[in-house]
Amino acid sequence: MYGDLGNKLVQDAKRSRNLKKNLQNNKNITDPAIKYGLGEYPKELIEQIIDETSLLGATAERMSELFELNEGDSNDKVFKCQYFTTILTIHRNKRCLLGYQNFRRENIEEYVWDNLTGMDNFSTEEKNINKVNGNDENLFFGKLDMNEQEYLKDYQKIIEEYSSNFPELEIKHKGNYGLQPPKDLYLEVRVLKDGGMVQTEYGVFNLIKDTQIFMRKSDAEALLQQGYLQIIQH
Amino acid sequence: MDIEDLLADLENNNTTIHGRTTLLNNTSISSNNNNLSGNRKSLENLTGEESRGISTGVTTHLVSETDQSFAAPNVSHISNGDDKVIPFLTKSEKNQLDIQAFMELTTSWRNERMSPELLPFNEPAFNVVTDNMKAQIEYIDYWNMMQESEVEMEATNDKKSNEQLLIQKRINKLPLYCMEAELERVKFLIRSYLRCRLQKIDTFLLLLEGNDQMIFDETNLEEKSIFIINKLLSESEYKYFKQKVKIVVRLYSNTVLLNLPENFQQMNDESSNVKMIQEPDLEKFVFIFVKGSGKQNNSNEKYNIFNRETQEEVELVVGGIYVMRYDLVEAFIKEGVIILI
Repeated sequence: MYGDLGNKLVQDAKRSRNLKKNLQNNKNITDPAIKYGLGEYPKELIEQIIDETSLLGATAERMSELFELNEGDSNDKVFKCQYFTTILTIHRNKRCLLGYQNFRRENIEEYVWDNLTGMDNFSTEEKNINKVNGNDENLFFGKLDMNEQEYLKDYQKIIEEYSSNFPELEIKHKGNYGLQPPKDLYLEVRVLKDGGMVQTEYGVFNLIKDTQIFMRKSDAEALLQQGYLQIIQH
Repeated sequence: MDIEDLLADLENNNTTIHGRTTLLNNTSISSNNNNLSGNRKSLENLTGEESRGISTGVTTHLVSETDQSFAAPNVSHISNGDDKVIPFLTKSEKNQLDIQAFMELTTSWRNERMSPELLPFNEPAFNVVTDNMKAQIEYIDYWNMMQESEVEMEATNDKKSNEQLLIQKRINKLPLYCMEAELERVKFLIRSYLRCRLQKIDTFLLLLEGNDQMIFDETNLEEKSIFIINKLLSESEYKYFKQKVKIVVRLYSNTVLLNLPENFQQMNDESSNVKMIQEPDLEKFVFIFVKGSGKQNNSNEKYNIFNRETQEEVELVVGGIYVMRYDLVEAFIKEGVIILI
């Protein structure tokens, strides 16, 4: 049946979205792509739909030509109905495809915004596993289509450019560091790797792995970005 | 008020007589403080959110207080920096303007967060607040340095006095901490405002693109987008928006649209019944607060709103809080008579 494949695609998107919702607070999931609701790019399915649609397009064209040839035959209701259904199916397929792409695009954007800085509240285990698996980004990139990868990179550039207008605002931060109202000047951080002595305005800190430090937000900022520290949430 | 301005003027000009300057300064500042705290109160009453009563007023308040006790010579540091922007204002007037700008920005931020559609960018308030913020960052840095050097100079070999000095240093830092905390809050406000706007631009990207037009701007003699002229977007936001449109369209065409039959390659097809472009839901219900136009003389202002669909007429009284469909009060929100909460 026409449109069945499109339906499959929509269901796929729906499933990923539900999965994403369920997984949001699950820290054991290490695959970043799944976390953002992005499965393997269903290239085959999409190509099938596109094939079906072009076929339908060709049919529609032929039909309209036929229609013009036998003008007198405009009472043929069956013919009209057939033509109409074809057009409708094309629209439906197109909508499925665009909707699916839109869903993926939104997820990619979310990923981009969330990963602009190294300030996320990753749990320690997660970090370790990521180290074992190699680069986090490669995993994510593997799930994307070529065009999507390009989009991701372009988007990062655009955000970079925009935020360079306001250097002192740290627009790119997220979560409890950027988009929630600040409550304290100080925060408690855990040291993730040895960093030696760090001189700040208010004294010297010795960064030893797995210790906790209570330090000023402004001092912690650079170290957080470099991945030495992680914020401890209470 | 007149005397106060006079004093502030004197203070700016009079740099030779040191003791006197400080004295004058103290008086003008203390009366200022009263104004400021009054203002802050009204803001809090207005919003009912004490925790968010982030007011530059408080920051200036702290600055002036610390000035009195510790750093008398650089009393007018901040006002000097700002005087470059608006040269002919006395200190108290300038403070009033700053506070007003900040409150405006807070309102814009709240409106933006609550409204379903993108609202015009509040550029004047935004600029004033960011300028003040930069000045404040500089000031805090400067003050930090001053203290560091002071301590170094006074440090002696005596252990006990050194300890006392350290305690003194801590105490001196306290107002500085408050100022920094205040600064963080202002930063958060601005950041949140900008991010919220970006998010809306993202959501209604293609809708905006459809409405975008280039118009010849007569004042600058160059072509500009209608969005910038209507102040809907700032220059940098417009740039972001345009670039984003470019890559989004490219993504869609490469993956889907170019592969479709020729007649169906448009993003939004006129002939199809379903719209492919996301539009804001203007009929969303919002909470509103009727602020009034701010004129003192007509205290019992009322605004009438007529709902055509249900044939109902609603009278909005100043100071009241209502729940209402956004499209009904949209015009009032843009005028600033009604704010979203």
